[in-house]
Order: sequence, then C-alpha cells, then structure tokens
Amino acid sequence: MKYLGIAAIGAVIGFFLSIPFGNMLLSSVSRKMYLGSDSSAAVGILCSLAVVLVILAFCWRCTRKIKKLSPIDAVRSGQTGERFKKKGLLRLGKSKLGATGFLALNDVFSSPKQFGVMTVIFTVCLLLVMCLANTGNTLASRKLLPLMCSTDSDIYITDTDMIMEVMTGETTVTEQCDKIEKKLTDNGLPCSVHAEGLVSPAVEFKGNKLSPTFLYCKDTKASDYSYSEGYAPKYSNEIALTSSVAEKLEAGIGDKVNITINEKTDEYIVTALFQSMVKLGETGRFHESLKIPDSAVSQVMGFQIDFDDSPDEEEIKSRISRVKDIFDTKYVDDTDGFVMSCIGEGVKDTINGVKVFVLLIIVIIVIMISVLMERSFISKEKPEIALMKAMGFKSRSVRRQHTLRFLISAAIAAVLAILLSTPVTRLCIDPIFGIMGAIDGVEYNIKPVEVFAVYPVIIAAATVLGGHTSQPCT
Amino acid sequence: MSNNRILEVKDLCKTYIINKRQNNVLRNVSFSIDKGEMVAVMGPSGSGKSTLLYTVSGMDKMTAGDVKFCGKSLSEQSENSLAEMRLDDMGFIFQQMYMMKNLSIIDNITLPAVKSTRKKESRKEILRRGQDLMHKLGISEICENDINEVSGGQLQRACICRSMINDPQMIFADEPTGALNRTSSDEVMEELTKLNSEGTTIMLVTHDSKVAAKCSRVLYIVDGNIRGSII
Repeated sequence: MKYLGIAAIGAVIGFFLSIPFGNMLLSSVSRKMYLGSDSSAAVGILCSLAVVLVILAFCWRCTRKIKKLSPIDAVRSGQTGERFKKKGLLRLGKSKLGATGFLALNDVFSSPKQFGVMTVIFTVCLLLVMCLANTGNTLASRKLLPLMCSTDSDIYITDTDMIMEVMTGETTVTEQCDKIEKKLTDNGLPCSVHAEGLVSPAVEFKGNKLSPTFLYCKDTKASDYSYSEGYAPKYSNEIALTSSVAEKLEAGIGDKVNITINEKTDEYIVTALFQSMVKLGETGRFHESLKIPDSAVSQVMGFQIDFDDSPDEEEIKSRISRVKDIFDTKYVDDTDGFVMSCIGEGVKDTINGVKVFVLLIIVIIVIMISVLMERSFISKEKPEIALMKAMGFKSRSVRRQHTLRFLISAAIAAVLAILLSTPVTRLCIDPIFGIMGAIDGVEYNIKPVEVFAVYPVIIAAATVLGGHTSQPCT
Repeated sequence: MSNNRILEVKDLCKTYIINKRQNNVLRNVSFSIDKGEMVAVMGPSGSGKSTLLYTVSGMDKMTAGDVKFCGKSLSEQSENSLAEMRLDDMGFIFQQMYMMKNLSIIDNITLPAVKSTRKKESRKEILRRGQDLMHKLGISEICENDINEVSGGQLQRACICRSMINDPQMIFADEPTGALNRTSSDEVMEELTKLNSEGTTIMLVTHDSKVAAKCSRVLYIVDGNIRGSII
C-alpha cells in the first residue's frame, strides 16, 4: 500500500509535468511542419499506469522474502552460521591499500548485489546521457557529410533567395555558380564554385515505378562520393541508387533501369548502392559526364566554394564573415554548419537541450539514490561504525571509507559506460538515423573529453556529494 | 601522580538528560589504577558500571571531573587525539564481540595495526604478529575463517587478540564473558589473567563474582558511586 501510494503520486506528477515538457520538445520541430492532433494524453495515462504496475510488481517480488523470515532471525540478526562460500574476497595482509581504502574496496566486493544495483543504475544513467551527447555531436559534425551526398568544401552558401533563383528558372545552376565565383574573385577570394543539383526523373524497372531525387554535379567526380556496395559510376549510362530505392524498384547492382528525363527515356545500369539522408534516403546519383539540361535541375543543395589557396580552419572562419558581407546573407557556413542546416537547425539544439535536461534529472536521481543508500548503510552498519570508532578510527576516516565505496561504484559504472557507450549508441540511435535514410548506420562523432571524462566525473561527483552529505551521524 | 599510575579518576560525574529529566549516572567517582593491575568493576544492574568504563576510556564524554590516562587529561584532548589514544594506547573488549562482518578473523585482528602509524611495519610483520597472538590464545586454526564460522569463545578470544595487536597500555573490557557459556568464560578469563601476568593493565566490568575473583582489585559501584574496594 505504501509503495502503491508513492508510485501513484509520482505517476500523477510525472504525467502532468510531461505535458509542458513534450510541448517544449515539439515546438522546435513543429515550426516547420504541420502536426496532426493525436491521443498523447491517453498514451501518457497508459504509460503512467504501466510505471505504477511495474513498481508494484517489483515490490511484490521483494516482499516475498518476508515469508522466509522466522522469529529466530531477530535473535540471530539473520545469521544462522551456515555459509557455503567465503564472504570477504580481499585479504588485508596481502593488500597494499591503506585501512580505509581496503575496507571500502572490500565492502564493495563483499556485497556485490547491493553495490551492483547501484553500479547498474549509474551505468544506465551515464549511458543515457552519452547516447544523447553522441547523437547531438554527430548531428552537427562533418561525419554526416557523405550522407548529405556532398563533397567536402571550404564554405557553403545556403541562402534561400539564391537557391530560389535557380528553382524558379530565373537563372541556371551553372550561371549562378559562375556569378558567385566571379564576385568572390573580384573581392580577392579566388575560388571555384559548384553545386549539387537535384533532378527528379521517373524511374521504372520491371513494372515498378518511382520518382526518387537524383543528385548530379558536373564539377565533381562520381568516384568522389562513398558507396556501400559496388563501384562508382564510370560512364554516363551508369548510376548509383540508395538501398531503399533499389529495394522499392526490386533492382540490384547490374540491373538496367529506365529513367525518363525531360520526356526522354534511357536505360541506365545500376553499378553501386549508397546511403543518403537527402529526401529521407530516396535518392540516386548520375555520372558527371551525363548531359543533363539545366532546366531539369529543380533544386540545389547549396553552393560549395573551394578557395584556390586551400586556407586552414582559422582562415576559413574569417572568410565566412567576409563572404556573408559580400553577399549580404547570414547563410554561409563551414562543413559542420552546412550539415546542420541540412539536418535542421532546431534538431541539434533540441537534442542538446534534452541532453542538458536529462543530465540534470540524472544528477538529481544519482544524488537521491546515494543519499538513500548511504542512510540505509549507516542504519545497518551502526555497530560497525561504532566499532571502528572504538578501535581508534577517526570520524573522517569512517566518512572517507563510506564516500570511497560510492566513488568505487561510480568508477566501475563509468568504465562500463565508456565501454558500452558506442555499441549502445549504435543500438539505440542507428534505427533513428535509418528512418532518415542512413540504413547502414552512421559514423558517430564521439567527443572523448566530453563523453569519457566530463559526464563520468559529473556522475561521480554527484555520487560523492549524495553519499557525503548524508553522513552527519558518522 | 606516580609514574606507576596509568589511570587517575577524580570526582568524575556523568549525567544523561532523558525526557527533560536529569539522570546522574556517575556521582563524584574517584579512583586510580596502577600499571599491571587487573581491576574489576562490579555492581547491580543500572549502577553505572559500563558508563564508568566508557567515560574513563574516553569513549563517552564526562560531565564533570577529571580523568588522566598515562598522564594526559582526557577532557583536554580533541576528538582526533582521543581516537589516536584508543588506537595506540587502549584496547577494548565488548560483551557482544563486535567484528567487521566482511573481514576474516585475522583481518579483524590486524586492522588496528594496519591503521596505526606508530610502528613502521610491513603488512607481513603485522600479519605475523597477529598470527602469533592467535597462537598464544589458542585460536590459530580459525585464522582465515569468517566471523560467523567460529564459536562465541573463539570469537571473544579473537577480540582479545585485536585489543592487544597494538601493544596497548591498558585494556578495557565490558562484560567480556557476558555472552559466553561457562566453559568459554573460563577460557577467556584464563587468557585475560595470563595477559595481566605478563604486564598488561586491565579494567573490566562484570557482574560475575567468579570473574571478579580473578582480579587483583574489585571496585564496587552502587548508584553511580564507588562504595568499596576489595583487594
């Protein structure tokens, strides 16, 4: 009854807090899309009920132990004298640790269930934050550039007005690139400019019809891009398709598909498969030597600028400001910024916001668990604490021993989380990237200092803080 | 205070406040113990025997009076220096045979020696001393046992070993045979008497006259006051 009450109150509070939190998360993405109404309230209520039921199920399972307790246990404090294996794992005589360190380590290894549960909780908490961090860092990194079907350039211009001039037919891709190139060269920034054109032809194979978006750039080579299977198109009648397009067409490498561009149908051989997050993975690529009229290019990804003098990163950053002034636009980025603009500005900010929020919640949870566990330890170990003081251990030694135990658990959790962070990130986040088109997964941008040092230190500090602040009675 | 005197207690008072009422457990208790003595404190239940033991050993704070241990006034010592005195100069034996549950018998015995910084000893040397003590008290065979795998008498003898590991000036024992059967009680008292004959000063609290009979002096306490001393 006690835990039913606690779980019910928690579920109600959590349900009502989830409404503004969910709205906050959706607000950043709903600016650019229409979202239909759904039964999120019903789902929220169901989830709250499920949480209460799970908690009750665990409580019921734990209270089964009450049946096993007998009156004699009160007299012997649960000890019957029977044991089938040694309790302590470490030996003081063989250890090089001081008394406090040894006692802390020995306690952790002698009570694996107790400290194991805590370690598992800390590991899961860390993994949650690490997954979010890896996702957020990847979404804003150049490691996703191959999935944007673009080559690496110094600067990218993604000004909507300039792109619209091409889309409306006011100018062609080639003319726009030439204009930009000339303007930059006249302003002392000699460079070459190219753009990935998007073409939407009709594709047919064995009766299966589709209209994927094909990428085409006469200023780059098809071999400059990455492919997951086969070889890059070498001739004008060769193409590459994404796996999802190939699947829908029921075509594979070596098959000849019919593509209609400007009412002219030709056969093209599929030579490679690749991954793409452009148009949710429904894309293909033409060879650069194929003659595609500018009128067939419906859109460009952005205008890619490669400076003749190959500047370093510092110089590129300063040139970005200059280019912004030259074209009077704020939509000029380096590679990381270009990837972010393709993914969506709000997505990375949302994920980072969620990451910070989750980290805060986790820190609170870790502190609360540490406080509860330490109070429980102190209550159970009062005779031992008193004995240590009677033997001559100072209060600070006892506190240090208790704090060290938590630190050891946090350290083990950190090591486990570090080892598991990449596989768990792949497990959880690859399906999400798969929906966006990267069905073979992505190369995650893992920032080692942030993920392997900062977050474990934060969790360890929270653990120590929680354990330490609940020790006044030692 | 003579050089031979190890413990000097003068007008010791200890008061507890329970439910806003003052309870004077010890009233102006004065006595002294010389080196090498084995002193028993006897008295009826609730007379203040254990309170006296814990107060004169610094485990509990006195309300008034003065206690000098090896010439040092306990009331002038900080918590940390009292802890150091308990570690290096005192040994304690309790009725309940408290031991660290995650340590083996030998580790429990050697733990105070590992903690102490007075002697610069290696772990091997500490271990050897612990084993020697266990051999002396006839419990070598339970060296690597867990605390739940031994009898009460063996456990209490292990507690004696632990109290001796740092060669203390004095041992304080609170009803050391209180939880033991007659055979184990006799064994434990035999060991304590042997230790005393080798020069260790012992102050013990007991309600067992047979135990008190083995001591060189018995202090009889009633209602917080020493009523008599039998040599």
